[in-house]
This record gives sequence, structure tokens and C-alpha cells, in this order.
Amino acid sequence: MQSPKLIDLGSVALWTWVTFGLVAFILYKIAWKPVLAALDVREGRIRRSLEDAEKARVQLEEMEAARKQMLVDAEDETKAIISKARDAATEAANTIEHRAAEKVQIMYANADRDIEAMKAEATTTLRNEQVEMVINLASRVVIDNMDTEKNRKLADQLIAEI
Amino acid sequence: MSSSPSHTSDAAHGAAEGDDKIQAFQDFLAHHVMDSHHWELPFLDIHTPAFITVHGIMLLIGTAFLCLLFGVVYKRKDDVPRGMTNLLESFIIFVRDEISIANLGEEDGRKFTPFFCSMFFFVLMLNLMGLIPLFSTATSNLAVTAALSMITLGAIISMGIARHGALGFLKSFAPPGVPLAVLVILYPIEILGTFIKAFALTIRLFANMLAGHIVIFSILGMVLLFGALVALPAALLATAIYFLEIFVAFLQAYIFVLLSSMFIGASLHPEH
Repeated sequence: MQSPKLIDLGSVALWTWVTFGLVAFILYKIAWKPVLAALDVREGRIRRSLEDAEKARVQLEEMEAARKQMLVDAEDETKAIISKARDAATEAANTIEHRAAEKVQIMYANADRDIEAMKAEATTTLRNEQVEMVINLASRVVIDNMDTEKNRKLADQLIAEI
Repeated sequence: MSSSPSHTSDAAHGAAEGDDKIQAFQDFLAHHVMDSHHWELPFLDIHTPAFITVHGIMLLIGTAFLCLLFGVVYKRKDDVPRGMTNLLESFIIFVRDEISIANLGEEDGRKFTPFFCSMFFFVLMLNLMGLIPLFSTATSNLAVTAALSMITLGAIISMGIARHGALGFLKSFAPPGVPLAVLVILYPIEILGTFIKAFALTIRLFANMLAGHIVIFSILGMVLLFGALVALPAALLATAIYFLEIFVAFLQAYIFVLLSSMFIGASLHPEH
């Protein structure tokens, strides 16, 4: 016959198996199965969120790089436009200056020509008047030619008149 | 020089009193540590039926506690776990990642996670119940730890046979590249080793849980031996050991499940 002690040990061992079986079964149904599935879902969601955040970060970095590149391009373009405008302005100024110089040259030439023409005209007029005056004076000299003394005085007078 | 009869009588009386105290101390210790059919509650003495002892009742109460813990306290619908739910989830994730998957690999580890979670929380609950007044530690009972180890042993053998076939399982005990002469000695040792592992599991958990309680109740039992003078230091020291016991309860549950997973993992993947 078994001693009560051994029976107790056997019954406790049996109860251990029964209760462990119950725990494993019940907790599998109410805890482990849904909890582990929920944990997987949550981990998946967190992983996806992290990946999305990483993607967004990369996208933002790309956008930032593109923005910087656009700024650099715009700056280059502006510089090019300014440089081109400066060249065009310089060229236009040079052209204007050149044309003005040419015009001035023409105006100078015209003025010289006019001056020369007027000078020639004046000279001619003066000569004609001188001729007339000489003729006039000569005729008066001839008419009033009485003595030398008188002639000299007349001549001096005429000269003074001239 | 001989002692007078009165002196002899006093000495005998003193010795008898000392024996009584030691007997009371032993009874106090045995009452708190040993399994029995008598569960003493305040204002109520429960005599358990023949088919169940107090530790058997502890097993049932532990099962009920676990069902309540995961059925009521644990809020699995919470998207952001808080409080107790968070704590329990961290244990579940720890068992899954650091025990099951770490020793059985990703695929087998996930399949075995429910088994190891059940074992971990079952052992932990039984360990911790011993620290609650009025309850006792079922895991300080050799039959309980032996039964739990036999579950592990059963899993080692059944999973090994299911995965590799009976012949393959038997072959897995023979390390590759060992000369035949050595194998003759090594093979029985390897087979014996599997049973020794289960035996070691049994003794480790049993001895740790029993020892902690013996220490606590021995310190408290000092009051029976030396009187009320040692009551305060004994209570303080027992409280300190109690906190150590809480740590040991977690540690032993972890070690039991960790070693079980390592043994089952070795049975499923003998090449590792």
C-alpha cells in the first residue's frame, strides 16, 4: 500500500499537469493568440510608420536639395541675365557714343564748310567794296589833284577814313 | 564532585524546555513550508479532501489568478498599452523575443511563444503566491517542479521525434565526427543528459523556492527560540529577505523557461 505522502505527491503532480494544461489552453484562447496577433499588427504598424517617416524625411531632404538647386540655378540665371544686360547696355552706349561722335564730326564738318563759305563770301564782298571804294577814292583823288601837299593830306584823310 | 539532585532536576527541566522550543521552531517551519491537507485561514480552518492538498489548491488559485489577470486586468483593446497591460506586454514580448525566438529561431520561436508564455506566467504566479500571506508556494513542492520539468522533457522528446522522426531523434544524441569507441560511452551519457537536464530543472526551482522560504521562516522562528527581544531585528531581516525573494521569484521563472527553451531548441535544431 502506498503511503499518503506518495499519494499526495502524485496528486499534486497530476494537479500541476491539469492546471498547466488549463492555463495553456485558456490563456492561448483569451491571451496569447489575440495578444501576439495584436502585437504583430502593432509592430507592423510601427515599422510602417517608421518607414513612412523615413521616406518622408528622404523626400523632404530631396525637396530641400531641389529647392537649394533651384535657388542656385535662379542665382546663376540672374547673374547671366544681369551680365547679358550689362553687355547689351555697354554695347548700346558704345553705339550711341559712336553715332554721337560721328554726328559731331559731321556737324563740325558742316560748320567748317559754312564758315569757309561765309568767309569766302565776306572776303568777296569786302574785296568788291574795297574795289568800289578805291575806284571812288581814286576818282576823287583825280578830281581834287591840285598839289602834292594837298594830295598827301587827302591821302592821309582817306586813310584815316578807311 | 557530583551534582545535587535538585541541580540535576533543574538541568533536565531546562533541557526539556530547550527541546520544546526547538520542537516548536521545527513545527513552525514545517507548517509554513511543507504541503498538507490543512489550510489555515483567519477564523477558518480548511481541511482539504484526500485528492487535493494545499499546494493543489494553490495551483487552482494560481490558474484562476492568471485567467483574471489576462481576462480582466489586461486591456488588449488598448492601442497604447498603459499600466499593468504595458507591464504584462513587456513580459510577453521578452518571452517571445529573448527566450523563444532567441533559442528556437524565428519560425519555431513564434510557434512556441504561447507555450513558453504559459509556462513563464504559471511558474511566476506560483512563485509569487508564496510571498502573499495565507498562500503557500506550490513551486517549493518537489512534485510540482518535477511535473513541470516533465512537461519540458515531454516537449523535448515529442518535438524532437515530430521534427526528425524517431530514428533521427535517436541519431541526434550522437555528436558527429566522434569515433565509434568514444560513441559507445558518449551515447548513453548524452541520452542520460536529457533526463539529467529535466532533473536539474526540477531541483533548481524546488530548491530555490524552498530555500528562500526556509530562510524567511527560520529568521521569524528566532522569536520562538530567543523570545520577543529578537522580534524587531528578525522582522527587519525577514523583510529584506522577502524583497530578495520577489527578485528570486522572477529570476527562477525566467531561468526555468529559458533553460526549457534552450533544451527544446536543441532538440529541434540539434545541429546548433
